[in-house]
Amino acid sequence: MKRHHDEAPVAAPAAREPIPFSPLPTALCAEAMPCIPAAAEPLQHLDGAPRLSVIVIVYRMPRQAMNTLRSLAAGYQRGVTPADYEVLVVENESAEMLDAAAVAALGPQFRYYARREVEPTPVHAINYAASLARANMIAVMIDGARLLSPGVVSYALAAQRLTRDAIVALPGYHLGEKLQQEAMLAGYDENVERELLAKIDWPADGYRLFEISCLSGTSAGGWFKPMGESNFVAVSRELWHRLGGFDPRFNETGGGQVNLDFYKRACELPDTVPVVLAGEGSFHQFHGGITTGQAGEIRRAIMAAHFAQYAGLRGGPYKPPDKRPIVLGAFPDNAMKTVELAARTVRMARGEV
Amino acid sequence: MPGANPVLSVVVIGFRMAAQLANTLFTLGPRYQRNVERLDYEVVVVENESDDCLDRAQLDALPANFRYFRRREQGRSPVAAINLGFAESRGDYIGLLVDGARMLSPRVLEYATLAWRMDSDSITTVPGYHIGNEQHHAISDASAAYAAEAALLASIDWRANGYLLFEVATIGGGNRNGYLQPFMESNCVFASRRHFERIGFADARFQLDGGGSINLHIFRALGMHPRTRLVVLPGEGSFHQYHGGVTTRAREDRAAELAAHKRQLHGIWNEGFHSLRREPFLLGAVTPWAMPLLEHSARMGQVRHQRLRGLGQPLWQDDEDLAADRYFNPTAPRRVIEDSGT
Repeated sequence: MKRHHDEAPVAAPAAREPIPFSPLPTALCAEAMPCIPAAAEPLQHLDGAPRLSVIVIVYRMPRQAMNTLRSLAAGYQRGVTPADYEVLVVENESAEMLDAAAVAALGPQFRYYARREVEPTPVHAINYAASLARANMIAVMIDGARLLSPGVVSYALAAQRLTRDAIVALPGYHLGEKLQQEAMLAGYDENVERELLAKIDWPADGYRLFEISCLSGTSAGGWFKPMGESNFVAVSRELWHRLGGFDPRFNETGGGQVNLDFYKRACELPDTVPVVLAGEGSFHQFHGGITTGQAGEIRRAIMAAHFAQYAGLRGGPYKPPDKRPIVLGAFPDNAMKTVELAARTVRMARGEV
Repeated sequence: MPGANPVLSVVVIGFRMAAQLANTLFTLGPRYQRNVERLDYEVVVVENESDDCLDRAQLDALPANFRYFRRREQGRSPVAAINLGFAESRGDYIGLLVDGARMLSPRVLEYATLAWRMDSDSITTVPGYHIGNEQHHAISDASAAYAAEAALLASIDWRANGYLLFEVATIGGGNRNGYLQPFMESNCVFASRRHFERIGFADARFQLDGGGSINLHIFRALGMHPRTRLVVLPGEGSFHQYHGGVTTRAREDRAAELAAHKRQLHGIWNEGFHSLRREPFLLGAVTPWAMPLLEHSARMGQVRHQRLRGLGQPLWQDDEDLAADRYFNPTAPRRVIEDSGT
């Protein structure tokens, strides 16, 4: 069984008994507005260090992970140079490993670490990578199967200027017309996905990913509703330490709900400001992950264990943070349809349409 | 009180609209604008003399960080008043409201300052609305319009929560397809002083009634530089109050007046004037009140994209012509702004 993390649905499947401790939906953001006082400090940079460390966790998905890393290379990421950021690739050992030389060939900002893991969780790999990070801002991609759109690094650097207490997040998408846990039941697999990527001539223009994808469960309804998690989440080094990194008690497969837990804990600190790069995204590739690549009862049992662990550690089911985010960035034309949907969803939730 | 060198100066021009100007100035004050407690800013008000100027009580009500200048204008244009405002302003960052009848939503100053902190070459604007449910130039009965607008404003406690203005407003005609399109005009624009200097502040050739299209000219001139970045605040708005403005009231010669404005504008822009065709960068929280315009903007953006794609034309022609980078690279070497005029 692959032990890779991915997001949980916001609600249990229809016509089934809900899984105990299923995450609670949060329809709307709080009325309170985000506040970045004029005196807020931008994030200061460390001399001689890159400005952003991106941690990518990989386990038994070399093809998908190489695509993800390509989407982090300079050139694909626009407006930045290799000196601006570093990518820390940490791979837990398995029978299917990345080619370290191929990773190194992507650019001088890529650093690769293979490690042995005894628990089925990526949490220790994440915290290990954070200890190696040189930048004053740390971004975590818990799922190495997530392709990025081309403005993510650039706009994360822009967010640093707003306040050192920014939490940079991205809406999540699944490649394909439907959520992959549903699509796989109708035959969606790696071959279908390869064809999809070929159709948009990926990676020539990364924004075309919007044309072949749908919003994932924890981003459903778009980014004007509270998001459950972000598969690219960046915080300052100081904030990282204040939160104690990712909580190592999340030792369920794929880390269970640790990614949601980190995002929520960060958002719920009183002085932090979520900044959503609304015109960007992370796009999940199919890879037989713990919650996106398993069918039926197996998936249900896994989810139940994840939810139960979260409830055990935090005293109840997960509820997305409702702090209203700041939107930052341009909206590429390919994303315009999703923008419209996101705005309409909020209006429907408010009973306006 | 602002210090001797406030960071931000907001220049507001008024002429024969005391009630509306007083409302606008309230929306710029520290009691109304949110999260500005630590922002050192000033508001420079320049009013051309008329039979409807701010009175003593209205002047006394201005907050301590406001400075007021009244001047006599022989002509019909606000250009000299605008340039007096620039000359009196002290901030390195300047906001300009050419039309003092434009009330603002409560986070315009906070977010505009954030945009400047993010990129000091940013040109920041907010979407425009009209108070009421029809475009102001279509209103034929002026006295009824004043009364209706006063009643509308009295029906909401906008002084306590300025976002309620969205509930009594209509999308403005200047950018009727929303803000994910080329921007024709901005009645509330923020930019570094050096960018206003680069374009020669307000161009003195705009001497037509109301300054003609001076606001369109300033906005495009600011935007047509490869270093500038167009920032739109999608959750905020500027709200036009009815006041018998040159182009925002019904008049028999409105078409001829607009034609004269257009002629002048096209004469000044050698290649012909058009809206600023640069991709907007969005910044700020989107309140539920502003969601309808975002939805509309996204819908109209798709229509435009499909049309242009079919024609094989670029979406953001000016970005292409200027070879502008929509991304943000803080480590890229900064080029000195060339004094290239417009």
